[in-house]
Amino acid sequence: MSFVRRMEPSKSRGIALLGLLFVMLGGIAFAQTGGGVSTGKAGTAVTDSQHRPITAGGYTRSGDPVFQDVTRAAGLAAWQHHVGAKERTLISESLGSGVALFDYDRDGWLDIYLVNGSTVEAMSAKAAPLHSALFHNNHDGTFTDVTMAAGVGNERWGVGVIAADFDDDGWPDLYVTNMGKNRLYRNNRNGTFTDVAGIAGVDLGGWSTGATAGDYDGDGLLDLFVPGYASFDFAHPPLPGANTVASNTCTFRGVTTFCGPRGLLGTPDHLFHNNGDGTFADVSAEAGVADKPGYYGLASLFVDLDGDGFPELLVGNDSTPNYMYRNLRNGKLQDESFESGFAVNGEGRETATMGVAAADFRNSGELGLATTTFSDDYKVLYDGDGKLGFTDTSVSAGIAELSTPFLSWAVGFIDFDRDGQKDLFFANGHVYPQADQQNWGTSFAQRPLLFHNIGAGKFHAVDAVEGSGLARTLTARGAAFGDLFNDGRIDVVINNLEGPPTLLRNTSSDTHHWVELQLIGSGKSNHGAIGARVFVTSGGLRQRGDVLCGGSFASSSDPRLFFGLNDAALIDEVQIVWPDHTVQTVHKLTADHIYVISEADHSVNLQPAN
Amino acid sequence: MALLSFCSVARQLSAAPALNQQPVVATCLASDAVQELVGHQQWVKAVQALHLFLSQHSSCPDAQYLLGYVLLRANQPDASLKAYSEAAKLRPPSSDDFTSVASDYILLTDYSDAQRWLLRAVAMSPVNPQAWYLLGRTQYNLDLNDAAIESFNHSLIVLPHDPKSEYNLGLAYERLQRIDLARSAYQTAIEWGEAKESKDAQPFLDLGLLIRSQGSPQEALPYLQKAAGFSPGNPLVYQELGRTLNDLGRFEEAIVALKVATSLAPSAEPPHFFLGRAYRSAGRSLEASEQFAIVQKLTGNASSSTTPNTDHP
Repeated sequence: MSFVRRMEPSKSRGIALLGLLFVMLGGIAFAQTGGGVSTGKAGTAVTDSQHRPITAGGYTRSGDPVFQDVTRAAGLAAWQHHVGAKERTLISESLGSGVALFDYDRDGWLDIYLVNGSTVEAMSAKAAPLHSALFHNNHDGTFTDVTMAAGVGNERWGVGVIAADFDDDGWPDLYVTNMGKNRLYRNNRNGTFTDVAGIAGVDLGGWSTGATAGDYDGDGLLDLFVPGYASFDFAHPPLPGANTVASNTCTFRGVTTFCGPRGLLGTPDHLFHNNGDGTFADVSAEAGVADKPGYYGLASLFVDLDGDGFPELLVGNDSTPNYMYRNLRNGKLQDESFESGFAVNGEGRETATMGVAAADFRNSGELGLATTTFSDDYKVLYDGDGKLGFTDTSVSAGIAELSTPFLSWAVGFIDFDRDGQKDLFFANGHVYPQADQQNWGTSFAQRPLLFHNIGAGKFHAVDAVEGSGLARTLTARGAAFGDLFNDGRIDVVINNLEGPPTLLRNTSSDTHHWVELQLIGSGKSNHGAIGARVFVTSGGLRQRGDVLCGGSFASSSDPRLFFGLNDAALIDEVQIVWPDHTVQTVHKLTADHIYVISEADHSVNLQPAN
Repeated sequence: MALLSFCSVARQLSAAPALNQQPVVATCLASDAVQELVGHQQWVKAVQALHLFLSQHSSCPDAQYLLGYVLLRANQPDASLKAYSEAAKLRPPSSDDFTSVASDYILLTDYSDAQRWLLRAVAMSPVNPQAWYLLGRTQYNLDLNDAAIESFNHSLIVLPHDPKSEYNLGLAYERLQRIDLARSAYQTAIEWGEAKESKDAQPFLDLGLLIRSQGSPQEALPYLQKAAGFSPGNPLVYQELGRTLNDLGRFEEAIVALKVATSLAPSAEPPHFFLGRAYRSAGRSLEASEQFAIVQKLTGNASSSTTPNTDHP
């Protein structure tokens, strides 16, 4: 009889062994996972009746299939995302890419831009380059790939995208982040774009992720913030066993995985001030947002959290504390990450934040926040007090338990059933293919999560009905939200790692009313009115919506504001606080329309295509 | 004569509970030095003495088994397993020997193999409470919570009213979200522990946390206060006490508790964070900023993102 181990002990075992044994004797400090990410303790594997992990199971046979996968019918399935090799031995192959919904040709219908990854072979011209895709909305439920004609192929290792009108000409431009030089695709107003990133001074290099646009200094021009992730050298990649990275950052639950992000050198973030002449100035250091510690930035969002008309800046960092910068209204932003409570979750622990969203989900007039995290960790919902104080309410809100085994990326507050309460959508997918070979209670491909807002800060998970979009297991990364069909329902476009995208069409059976508002700024407000706050009162309910750009994971959603109105067919009042702080009030609007509201002449018109 | 005497002692040692109980060393004229070393838990020196002995008496199975045990206690699980393998060539292992082997695997965080040998241990001796208990803990660690509950219940049959097993039963129930049963088990473990001279803070801590998570901080508070009383050096206990007081709006008391937590675990981030939050709630913004600055400084350095539970490091 031999008791000798059948395998060599893990090299990562460097802790006091006898101490571990006595941990066995009781107590809650048990089963830390360690490795390259910050996550919670290994939890109980939750499985369904067919022994599938809940991340790829737990479906119901009946119910309202609130989303349907219409990818193929819409003509999006021919394009595929691709990045690196299937084995996923490098962190660069795990991140995936984002998606933007924007109306590039101003025909009143949302178009779709999907960012692609790349491979080492493609980058070194040993294989055909991969390209991102621009899909034009045909107004009939289908889309046409117009990438090449538009000149937005971005044959680089793409990560994220935002759509914003940086030159304030009324036509949305695209900023695409890459591993390598970024792109600023200026909209030529004729269906084509020109990359002006180099001239504009925003091409950077390195590893850029989820950008955001906002007018932080109130000069009427959109500025640009770009988080930096980590230093990465393709010539000396951080492979397990390589001497470029600590081996204990290359494991998860004792299993060898790709290395990082811990152990990699983090890279700084960048704030670019828009000079108004087609160029930008890097003001990261003087504004106070340069990220001196080198946290692993993945997501960012300019959003006015204290209602003073100047946007704060949120940065979601992977396995390091998040940033919340207070806008001091003098061109500087002050780090109040820990003061606000946003740096960490309610347990005081930094999370592997992938995505971020902000919305008034309690209809209190103040914004709350949501962030996405790794598996073995709950997704975080923060209640906001309007004074830059945030409290983690994930457990009491009812999203913590179910969300824990999921590895979530994109996140959005969407009122999918138009009842006037903003619901919460998470797009999910693991980074380790090894998840399917382990009893971790999670899976590589995962179904999305939709939590229905039932009021008073509480949420219920929406059933994943078999055959519906919520029962699709995906390798989701970026996701954007918007009314793609101009039918008064919020749809979701997901960019999946290594495969076609997914278009989830909202088919909720509800019969509630709705309204959408497209805002056109003027004067000291940027043309797209990014930063505007809108308060809609109808049926005794007052809701808030903010025009934002960025957030989710590396993505950019419908710039039009959407409000579910429940049973109210008439809107009593719309109050708009424009980015230049002027206030416009509109009374008595009929529901179930898309309105275009202009700051210049205070006009309110139906969107032509509606 | 010397060999026989030593082997006789070693058999008694080998039969002793394998882990957290000190083996009783009987009189052994031939090995007083080893006896003394084991008795004083001088494991490294005992290993040396046993190696010396075995170099001359390699066929003594009990000495080999004792070497395995002492190596386990000396925190050398790989060497211990080799010693046990050698010993098994000389004599079949006992239930306690299997328990010790499993303990080596626990140290190596190889819980699957630990479970394998613990199952052998309980099959060989179904009245071995330590083996049942460790089996439950191992299964808990393997996320086999139903099996763990069964093992803890076996342990309680063999050793009734054992607060340790009952408390761990609560942990397994809590993992399975069987909250009422978990709460009941913690409560029972606390009651059974009343008779013990040395109080274990853990059931109080876990029961307090469980009750707080159900939205009843006021009801949780006495348990956390008792936990702090029983474990005054445990930063996690003080942190959770402070958080609960903060939830109750008793900010100044929260600050006191959280200051204790920060002093007990100065390099852990969460106590500083929660202390900062308590200061902020109390309107003491300057002190809050100081704490947040500490957290920021600690982050990414040689700090801990979790607060240690020092009763169970």
